[in-house]
Amino acid sequence: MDNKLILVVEDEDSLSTVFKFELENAGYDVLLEANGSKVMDIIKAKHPAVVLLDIMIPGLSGLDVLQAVVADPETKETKIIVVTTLNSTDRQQEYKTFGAAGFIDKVNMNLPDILKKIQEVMVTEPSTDIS
Amino acid sequence: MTYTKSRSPDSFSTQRSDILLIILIVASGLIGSLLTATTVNRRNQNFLLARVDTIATALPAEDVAKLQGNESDLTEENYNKIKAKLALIRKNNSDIRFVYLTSIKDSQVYFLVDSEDSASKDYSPPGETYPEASPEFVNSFKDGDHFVEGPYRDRWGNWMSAIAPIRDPNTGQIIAMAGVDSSALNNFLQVALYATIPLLLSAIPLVILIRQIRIKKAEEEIQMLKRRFISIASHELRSPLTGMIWGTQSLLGRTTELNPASKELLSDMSVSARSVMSTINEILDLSIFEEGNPDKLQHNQVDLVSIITEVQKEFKLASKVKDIVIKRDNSWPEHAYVIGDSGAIRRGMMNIVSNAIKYSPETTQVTLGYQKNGDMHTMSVHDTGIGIPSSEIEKVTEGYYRASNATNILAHGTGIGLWVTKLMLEQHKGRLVIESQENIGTTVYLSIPIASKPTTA
Repeated sequence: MDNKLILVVEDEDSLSTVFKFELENAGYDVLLEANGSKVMDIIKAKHPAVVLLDIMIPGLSGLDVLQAVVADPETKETKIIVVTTLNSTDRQQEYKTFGAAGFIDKVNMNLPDILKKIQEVMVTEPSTDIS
Repeated sequence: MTYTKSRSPDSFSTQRSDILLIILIVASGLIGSLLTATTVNRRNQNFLLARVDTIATALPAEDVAKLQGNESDLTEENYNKIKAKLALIRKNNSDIRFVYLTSIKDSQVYFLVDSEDSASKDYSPPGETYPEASPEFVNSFKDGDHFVEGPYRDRWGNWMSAIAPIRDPNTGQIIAMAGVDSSALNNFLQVALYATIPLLLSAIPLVILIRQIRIKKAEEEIQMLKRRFISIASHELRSPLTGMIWGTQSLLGRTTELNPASKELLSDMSVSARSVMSTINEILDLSIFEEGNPDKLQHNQVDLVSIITEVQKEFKLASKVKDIVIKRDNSWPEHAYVIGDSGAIRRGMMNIVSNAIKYSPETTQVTLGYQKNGDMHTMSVHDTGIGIPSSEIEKVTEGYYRASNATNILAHGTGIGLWVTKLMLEQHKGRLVIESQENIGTTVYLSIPIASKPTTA
């Protein structure tokens, strides 16, 4: 497990560029991927500590990726933060039950909030229930 | 990008009941038509029968008995008397074409008297055989029943006929059969005409029903398109916009790389992007609330106090520009729980506070207050700004309306913020109340029912 590596799965360029800059600034290494079908391979190859996963991406659906990562013993140590424009708390519960370690709401959260959330998730054990 | 087509589960069941209704209407039309046709036809037949019965009884039997059924009758008085009578009957009954007397010999029906003029081509002289006679006609001479037959065809055309016996008063024997012929075509046309009436009548509810179905389908189409638009807009508009907002935020953080002019430009871009995001949210909220769809709203325990804290934080920067202080007064409790959608409630509060700042002069104060109003938590936002003219207070919450004095401050505005907030509160079983005086200030009260019992946080 590479504790400094974050995989950002996002098809919106402006967002992935911002993530990369800000996260690298904060001291992490960042990998970018826009296509859901490649995610599993990258996780298996690079073992990132955290994955920022946009739920709506081309290729495999974000939800499928989440479930696959959590189910596979090779990858289940990787913590997944779901990123979405849907700000419903119901959905948050759903993602948590599927094994997401955290939740980022594009609509309501700002950059500093996001960085804080990533740091929170980094230090917490995967099985803990976080909001 | 996959777009899901949503289809309301109702649409199938309404289709089936509509089809059933259409079938019912058409069936009743047809049944009505059939009943009318048979009734009119039977009426016509009975009318014909009635007249032939009258003829049979009215003709003097002894005159009929004397007929020989050959050309020697032509000079006889009784023949001519009968013929004149038959001709008169024909003249007085416009629907009857032929009136005649017949007899039978060796199972062959033949004419005794014909109402037709001897010069006419359709004339049948006494003794002329009628080989086209139906078996029923032939047998009637034996059993003496009157009857109606037709439509049938003979050498003179298509007919409906009524036949009745003439009996010898002494012996009771049948001495002749009287007959009347009526045009089968005329009968058919008349029956058909009457039969169309129930069909035409049933067409009226049918047309109305079909029109209603069309309207319903069009409305369903619109709703579906609206839902599709919302789900597309939700992602397609917000995602790139978030990119812009975060992007500008990120750039603004790189203080060493930028000169003040660049920073200012980025700042303005950030404000613009946020403004677009807020408008998108307003419009999307409106679509959700307008549909009156409470399932779209979350039903969670929400603490109004934490929302008000977030709102204050959100506007710290914006209010600094005009040097406006947003202050929470000390009426606020530690917690104020309601059941609802925290995102929607926050956006509503933000809209009200945003208005307060927008329409207030510089270096003033916006006060966030609280009061318990019966079974409601009531948040208030008070400003000392331009106010709303009293005649327009109702209208500003009605949609797409901006008060007349508002455009002086801000040229653009959607005019739907207050409307959406009001709808949102109503969806939460609360309400929005505005108190305002022009050039003095405005207080907006947002009320939501108190959550009956705090559940585990």
